[in-house]
Amino acid sequence: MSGKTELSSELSRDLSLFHITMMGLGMMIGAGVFIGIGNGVAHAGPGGVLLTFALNGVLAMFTAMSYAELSSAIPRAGGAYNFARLGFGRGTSFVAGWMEWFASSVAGSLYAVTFAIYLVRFVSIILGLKLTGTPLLVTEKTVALVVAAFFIYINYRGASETGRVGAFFTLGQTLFLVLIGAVGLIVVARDPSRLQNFSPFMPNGWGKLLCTMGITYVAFEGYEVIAQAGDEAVDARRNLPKAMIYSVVIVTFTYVAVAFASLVAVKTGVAGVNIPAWEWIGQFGARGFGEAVSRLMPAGNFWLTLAVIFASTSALNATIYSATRASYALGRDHMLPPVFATISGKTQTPWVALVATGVIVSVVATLLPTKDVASSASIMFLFLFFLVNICVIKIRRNMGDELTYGFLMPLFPLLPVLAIVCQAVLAVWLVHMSPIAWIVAPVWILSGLLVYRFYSRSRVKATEHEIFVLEEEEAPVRGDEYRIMVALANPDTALSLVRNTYAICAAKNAGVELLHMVPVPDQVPLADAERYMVAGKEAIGETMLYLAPQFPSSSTIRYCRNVARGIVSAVREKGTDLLIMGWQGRTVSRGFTLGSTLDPVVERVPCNVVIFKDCGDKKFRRVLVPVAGGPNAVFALEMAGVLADKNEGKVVAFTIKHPKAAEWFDVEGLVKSHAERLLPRDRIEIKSIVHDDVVTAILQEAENEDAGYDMVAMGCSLEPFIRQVGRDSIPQAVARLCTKPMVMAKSSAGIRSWISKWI
Amino acid sequence: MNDREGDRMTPDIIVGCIVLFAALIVNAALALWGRRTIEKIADKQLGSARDIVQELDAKGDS
Repeated sequence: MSGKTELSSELSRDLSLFHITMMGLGMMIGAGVFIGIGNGVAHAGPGGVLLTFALNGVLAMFTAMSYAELSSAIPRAGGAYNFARLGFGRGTSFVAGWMEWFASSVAGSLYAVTFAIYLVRFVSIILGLKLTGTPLLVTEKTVALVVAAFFIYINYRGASETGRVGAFFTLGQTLFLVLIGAVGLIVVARDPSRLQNFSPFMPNGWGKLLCTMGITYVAFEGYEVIAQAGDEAVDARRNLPKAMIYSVVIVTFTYVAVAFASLVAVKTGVAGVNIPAWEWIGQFGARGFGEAVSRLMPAGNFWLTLAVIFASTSALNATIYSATRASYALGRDHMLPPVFATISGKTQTPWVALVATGVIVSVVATLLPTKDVASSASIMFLFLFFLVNICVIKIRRNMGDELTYGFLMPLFPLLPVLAIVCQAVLAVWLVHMSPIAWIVAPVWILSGLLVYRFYSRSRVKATEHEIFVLEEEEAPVRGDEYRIMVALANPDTALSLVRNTYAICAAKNAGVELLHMVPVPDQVPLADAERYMVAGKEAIGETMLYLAPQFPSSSTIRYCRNVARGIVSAVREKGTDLLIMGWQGRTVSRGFTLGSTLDPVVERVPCNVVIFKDCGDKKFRRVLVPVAGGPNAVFALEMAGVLADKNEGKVVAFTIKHPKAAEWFDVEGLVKSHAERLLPRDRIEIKSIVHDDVVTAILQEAENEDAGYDMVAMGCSLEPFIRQVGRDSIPQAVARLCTKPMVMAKSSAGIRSWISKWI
Repeated sequence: MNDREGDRMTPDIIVGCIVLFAALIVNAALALWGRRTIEKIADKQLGSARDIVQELDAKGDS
């Protein structure tokens, strides 16, 4: 964290919505659509190719929504790397960035070679100039290197130049494709009999659709490059998601129109076409699109070649940009040597990352067989998208309240789940296309893991979202020890919270971990956080004096940007069995039930939770426990028994039957079946009443002076905090309205706690 | 095509056209919804997921 070694790393913000949309389109409209149409028609037939692009468009839109949501909340260079860093931590994010860098670089080399092949073809065949004296392959490789070097220079000149040049090329190719689509419609309007080319619609069956979707999905992966522009886009929170959505919808409609035009371009029985048009186009495979379009308009071959050159260059430009930003982000966070984050003082671009990317692009373009390596890149892109779709669920769930979103997807989490399933199917399909790719991809990932293990792990720079340990005092821990963590917030109430903890520690023979999280405001550098920890030290010191003589006790003071996430993180890290917290009894944050810290903690921690409200240093002779079944009610009964006075304390299990309900809840059965965890039966009373309002009944019973309750203990079943807006469950309503000391207990035995333990 | 097979609307064509247009409509609808949401979030200066969900829920948009 020392300021002296920090490198200045800030990119200039000058990419408009138009620029970044064009960058996304540029990466999408590459070789995929030109090669995909011919192959698609051959495999899936005339209708199948239309459906391929339309359905891929929907699938791409699902993932684009995930990218859009995350980019709007985390608008920084790095794309999937940043999302994984926040969602899963350092190791996974490094692998994500590592894959992203390689995949984009290799895709760039592929586009450089494609450009070279078509340029040489354009010069030698269409313009009629003969290239003599040099083998064709050497010429193509040389041209590929020159064009790669040109676009590396363009990227070096700056984001604005990158965007402008890329936008120029992309606009050219997009307009050309739109023109093809328009000509196709005109041709059909003049000669409707060409619609017969769509019959039979799916000659090879619907099963082939999945294959063609796999081939052409590469033509939709442009949102990654848009996400990389997070540091350089104007009004990034608004423009990044817009650019992603616009680019997907534009390419989807364009591709469908172009595929339609290709199919109506050929007329059976005319100019040597003696078989159905779709078979004729399909027999050319990857060249099928070109052969069809050359019949659609005058000088079609010329225009098509020009379009492929445009497409290759814009895709090359976008992939170099994307790969550079991925390695820049790794350098920025010291996962790769920090020199990768060096910004040119003149052009404000990450020139070292650019040079490194240029080396990979050049080496792969000239030396390696690109087909299989490109398939590896596709697999890595699919892995990335897979990861991003998981990230969007995890990040909204864990950090939805502290991030500032510029966009939120609809139907959450249905869309990312659908995308995950579909992408898994497509990735598996790629095994059949290139088995070597399934060797290259794991080797690259493995090498990344080694780099992380032996270089990055010890050097990585913490981000502002991570949590740091300021002070830690560890007590020896037995392997089987029940671990209780007490989260202390306020020095004034710390001691009373710990006194209530005492009984639980004794009952469980537990070790205690005292935790104090120091929230540091966003405006303050984390390095200056120490001045915020005085109050926490005071609280920890006092409570340690009280607990340490009796129980193995440890203490930790950490600083963080968000207390809730800090506590959840500490619980996971320490393997805590029970978390104890205090609640002041009121909520100042709008939309929260117990508060902006307690709500997310109760929802997310994968352990038992006990929350004390106004319990102080009191004796509890009669404890009211409303029960209606479930693990939380049993846990509340158990805690009530632990906290009740050892000699004369009694627990009242209280159940309410609605007048319209047919049966009473079987409290007796519940008590019997958990007898080993509860007080002896003679110290548990059972009380049942009929009432039409459960909350009112509980509150009336709690305040009943004849019954003489000292405390209310309740199962705490908070709704996921993101969904609870405007609603109040029974425990929440009682917690807010009850004037008696109260304990809320949440058990980790539920399915949601189990899931959160493992995810 | 002398048997005029191409003139007939086979079940494949009917189902295919429905799927095709449905996919395009879903795509366009998601795009329009997304654009509207982005503008709404920016105009109302909403920030956290909670605030946005609350706002969209209130309007019946989510």
